[in-house]
Amino acid sequence: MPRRWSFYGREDELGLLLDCFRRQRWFFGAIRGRRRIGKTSLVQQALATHLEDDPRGRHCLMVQLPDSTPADFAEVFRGTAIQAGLGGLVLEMSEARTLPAIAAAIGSLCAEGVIVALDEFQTCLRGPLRALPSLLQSQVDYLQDIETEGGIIVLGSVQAEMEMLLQDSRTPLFGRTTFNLNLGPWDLRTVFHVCDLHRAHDPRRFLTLWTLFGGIPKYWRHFADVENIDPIPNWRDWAAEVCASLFLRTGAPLRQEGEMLLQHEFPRTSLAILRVVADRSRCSYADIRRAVPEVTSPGPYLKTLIHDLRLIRKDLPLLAGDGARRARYSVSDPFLRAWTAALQHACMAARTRPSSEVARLLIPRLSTLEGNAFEELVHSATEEVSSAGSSDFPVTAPVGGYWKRPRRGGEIEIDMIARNEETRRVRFGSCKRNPGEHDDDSLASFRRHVKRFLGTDEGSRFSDWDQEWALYSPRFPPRQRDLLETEGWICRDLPDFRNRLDRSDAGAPGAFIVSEKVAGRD
Amino acid sequence: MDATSNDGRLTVVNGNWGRVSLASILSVLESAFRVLTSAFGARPDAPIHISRWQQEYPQVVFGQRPYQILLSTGDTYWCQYVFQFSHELCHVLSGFERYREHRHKWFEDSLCEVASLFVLHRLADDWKRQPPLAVHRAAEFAPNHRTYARDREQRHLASVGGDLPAWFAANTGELESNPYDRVRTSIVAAALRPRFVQEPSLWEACRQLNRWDPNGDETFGGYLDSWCAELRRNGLAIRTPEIVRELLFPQNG
Repeated sequence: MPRRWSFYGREDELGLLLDCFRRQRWFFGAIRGRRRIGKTSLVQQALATHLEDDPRGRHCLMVQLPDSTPADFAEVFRGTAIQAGLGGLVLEMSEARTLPAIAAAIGSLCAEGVIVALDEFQTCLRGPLRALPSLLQSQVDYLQDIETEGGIIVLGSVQAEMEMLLQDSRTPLFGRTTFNLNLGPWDLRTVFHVCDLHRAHDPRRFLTLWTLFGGIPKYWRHFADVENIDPIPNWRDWAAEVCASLFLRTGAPLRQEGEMLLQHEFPRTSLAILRVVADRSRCSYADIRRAVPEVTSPGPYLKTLIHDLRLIRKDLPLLAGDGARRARYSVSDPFLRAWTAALQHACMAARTRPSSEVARLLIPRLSTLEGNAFEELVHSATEEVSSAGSSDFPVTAPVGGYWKRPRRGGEIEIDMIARNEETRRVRFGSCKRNPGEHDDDSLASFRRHVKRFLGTDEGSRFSDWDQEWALYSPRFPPRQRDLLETEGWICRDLPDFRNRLDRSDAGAPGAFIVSEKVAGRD
Repeated sequence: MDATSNDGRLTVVNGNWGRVSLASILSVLESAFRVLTSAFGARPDAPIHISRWQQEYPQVVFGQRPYQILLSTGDTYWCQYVFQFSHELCHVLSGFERYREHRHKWFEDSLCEVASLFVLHRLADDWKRQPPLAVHRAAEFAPNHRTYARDREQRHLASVGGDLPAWFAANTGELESNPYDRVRTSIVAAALRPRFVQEPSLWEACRQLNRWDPNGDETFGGYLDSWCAELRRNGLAIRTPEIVRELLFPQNG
């Protein structure tokens, strides 16, 4: 039977919210983060923990802004307030049928000490609810001058739109937030912890799940609910079953997820570019132009995808200046990358073919995706372990890769370069999803590439530094590790990272009361 | 909203403590406070305010009333709360402000480490018998206090190699020049801890620390002599300094 879900990670963010609740002063906060990242769960857990400090409890009204008319929003608002037992707190609640009346009702609730959380707040940027921020402004200005314990939290999933609503000096709510929380994916320490608790301890399985979900809590929760996968001994069968259960079978919880995200998150015109980038895992500007010839200038679309929607990441070779023409583009969200590159086609195919067969055909594509995901995982893990203060290689700059293709040959491709400017140490890394691929040919090639790098303008500065050579895989068989280490290679795998992120020196953590809503018991 | 104990002696100051309520932190610290003050047979002369800070080590601030204890832990790492708070509370109970810097200050810090280990061992039993109500599943958690203490003790004692007097003779200079050297003070603490757990009354003598000017004590032996004299003046047993002497340099005893 699957283990019961809990509230994982997010210690700092929860601490910040609790600190704010306990101040007993009015507040106006914003929480931003992609869909499924756990914004609502965070607020629910904070309220549950706060109950221990203040048994009278804080009333909270969570309202989701509909993408429709003010009248519809009024209906939703009144219905939610009455259902939450808060209708009696506002005299004019039954009259709250227009945007100004709703704003006034929000103000009245806050004055009574209620926390009002407005979800999907980015809806207010345009469309019929766009007058709401201006109406809220007068409530916010009034409330911060009176003594009340209530507050408003606005939650939104589209980063750029939330920023425009709250951080653009021309907008009514500019400069008014008490806190701005940017909720990212779980850190790796939390993902390792969740894997240990929910039957994915094996490094190879961890990598598969990481490739599919990244650090998005809601997807891990769906995985945790899948039954009868533990006894499957073989990775290939296990991975096929995970994909079938979560994506392919009728009623699979994530079958519509990708489509839903694509519809919500960005305009259709950019879809073609996103697909090109996802299909190639990493590609150059020239690759995009070749693949989408009908778009004469992909630049503005890429700019929107990178800066406004943050769905595509632009990477430059380490130490290359911003103007370098060697940029590579990749889909930044692991789920969306897996969806666009592999799962979407599989979901369509599963409508007409047996899901088990489609799942088996999906595995080779998934393996390729895992290779790229592993390299990114090594970069993130190296930085996170360093920032936790438990690294054997503390870094002083972001970890990255290096690539160069001179016209006259002599290509350079290095998966990972980490450096410490203070101790003048540099670590070159080669990442292989399959440890067996760290063979003699591969090691010789790795040496050649680093040697060429040290001869470049960017690499020559490391010539007199202490140089380390590291090999990375999800898990090294002990014998192979011994052999490689005897030859002077540093071997690092996922259990090494897990151990370094482990906080056992702090002792065992005590239990805490999980929100009934988060645990799914409410 | 801070969390204050019913008698007003302890206040956990609001801040970003992570995934935890102030009420449960207070409850954990109250249980540590009860154990140590009862062993000392004394309470601090002023209330204590406990805040979170983001530095590596905890601290009690000089010259402040109420006393300000800064802890560098958070979330529900109860053992760390107990360990850090007990250490700082021991400084308060042994009059840490009277003589702030002297060559034997390392001994006070070692004793405070003993206090941490002592309280952890005691709470492993106390929480099982009488779990604090505000701590979720405290009885179940109780054995972790002993595990945490033993892990620390074993880690430190392993580096001594069984001959504490020889180790002490070789390390006295380092201890005198760096009284807050956690590794060395923890080694002394791990060696002293069993005696204090066996005889909690040994703590009573620690109330008299910092009541004479230790700058006049040229050697650690002299410091222990002064402590004995101070205890005699107050009609208290000299057993604690004698045990310390016996453990650290028996040949000179």
